[in-house]
Amino acid sequence: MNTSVNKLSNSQLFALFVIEAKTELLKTFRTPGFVLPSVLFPVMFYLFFGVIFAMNTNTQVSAYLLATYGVFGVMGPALFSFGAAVAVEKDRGMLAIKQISPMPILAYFFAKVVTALSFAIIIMTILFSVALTLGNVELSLTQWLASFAILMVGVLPFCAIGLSIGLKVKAQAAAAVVNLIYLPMSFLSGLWIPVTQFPEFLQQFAAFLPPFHFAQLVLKVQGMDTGIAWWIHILALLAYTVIFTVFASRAYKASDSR
Amino acid sequence: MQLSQTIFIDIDKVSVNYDDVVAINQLSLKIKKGEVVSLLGENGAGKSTLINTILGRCQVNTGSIKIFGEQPGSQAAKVRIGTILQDANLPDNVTVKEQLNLFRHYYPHARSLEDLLNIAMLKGIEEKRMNKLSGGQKQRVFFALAICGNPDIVFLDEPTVGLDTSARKEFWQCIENIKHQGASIILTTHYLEEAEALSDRILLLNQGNLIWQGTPTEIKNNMTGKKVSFHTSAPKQTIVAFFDSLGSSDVHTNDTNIEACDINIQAGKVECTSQTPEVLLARLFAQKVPLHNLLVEPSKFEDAVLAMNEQMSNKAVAKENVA
Repeated sequence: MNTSVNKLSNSQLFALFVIEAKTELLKTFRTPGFVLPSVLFPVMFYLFFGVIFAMNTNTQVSAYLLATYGVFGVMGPALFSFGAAVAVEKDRGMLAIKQISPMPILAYFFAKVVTALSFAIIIMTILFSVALTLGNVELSLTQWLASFAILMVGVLPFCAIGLSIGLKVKAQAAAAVVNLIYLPMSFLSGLWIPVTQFPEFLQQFAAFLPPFHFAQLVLKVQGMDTGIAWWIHILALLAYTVIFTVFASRAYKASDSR
Repeated sequence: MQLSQTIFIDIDKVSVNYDDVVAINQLSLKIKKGEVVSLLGENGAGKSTLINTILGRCQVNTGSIKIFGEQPGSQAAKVRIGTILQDANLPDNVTVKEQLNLFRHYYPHARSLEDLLNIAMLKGIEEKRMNKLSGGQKQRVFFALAICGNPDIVFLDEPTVGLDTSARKEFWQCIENIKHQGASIILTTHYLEEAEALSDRILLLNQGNLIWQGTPTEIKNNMTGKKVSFHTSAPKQTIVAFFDSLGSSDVHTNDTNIEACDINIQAGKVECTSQTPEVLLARLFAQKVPLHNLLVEPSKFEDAVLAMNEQMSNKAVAKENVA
């Protein structure tokens, strides 16, 4: 036997990433108990506050909330599928069986990111349809597309944050910890009420929260942001991504050796 | 042949501590290509720790381990091994086929799906999801995952624990199916018959020490005596006096007296092992020891191992007492 070639070829590696993502998607979308709430939660919120409650006001409210509930919606599955799901996989030995195999860590992370992105696409498609038909939101095609693109890419820092939680926290605690971060952070970042209506010190505090920067980027497309330069938001989100990716890869290594 | 002497795993004076507890104590061991080795021992003897250390999941405190000359846990080592972990799990809602195909992609020289289904006896259930499988079937899926990369070493950490007899036999069949393909197999187990049926070499672990090793036949030869047991109405002193008269210096030590050793007297029941049961019985009758339910059985493999384990523990205790 030729043992000198004990590495995957590039095409084998590509096929591995594809099947890892495919299996992850199958696994996730076969769990309606996770898929339905993840998708319906932000849509329901938007229908209530962005459409029904905003009926007698101008369409600006619907447009503003489309951006912020979009952020809220895509953040959720990223935090949960990385946070809670990874914690369960870690505690129930589903991660261990992969860690002793030669699977590259990146393939595992990649599959999770693809899953989070798929959710982002589904949630945004529904939200945008609702906004167009019921919310009477009027945006140019470029604005629609730019919002869509930002909402996709903006998921990444939350994948890293979720992953850090999932690899550090016990399975029973993970969902609670994610909620504890997800809901207050969403509120304090102005996803439900614009930050401009916050007291001064809370407005300043918002600048430290990743969803604030994420939402401001989407709002900038519509010209409804607070006026901070776009590159500051991008830098802040990048910093969060890098910090939590480093944190997560350390936690991954620690979980592999006892 | 020269090739069969290739050393796959080289463990040199390795110690592993968990906090203050010594899990592995100064253990040295070489495992050759194609060998089937069983690790036997009670819970906490260090079997799983040893496997996890070879896999690179436990850190070594002193000593060194090389696997194929590589560092444990390195990518180069991982590609050439397959493992059934004790605490591993698979997602409920993925089918056997999907899971196998996923893991096949992790290895450069994977077995075909067809081969895996045949070797692990999974034909006919490949479209089932994991949560629809029986315990035995699940364990065979883990086995298929362990061998899907055509590994040179297969680690099986208590693969048949919790399985009923028929499921266990089926699992053994799976191991037999790959045994002759040249891979080394390292098996930890509580079931002595499993070690006896499958292995070339048996290692006995006790409190992190490798206390004995040899072939299953050697273990049996180590203990060729017969087990003699009976009930008696005689008081304990009479029985103790009887055994004392056989020449054994002290009934409570486990020295290897030819006529009777491993003597156990409890509530009117007497058990011992004898190399010469005929002589022992003749004496019992001559002394008119009242007895009923007399039984003479060949020593079981299990008894031999248990006796050795006990002897070693006693020696360890004796040593400690001296020190």
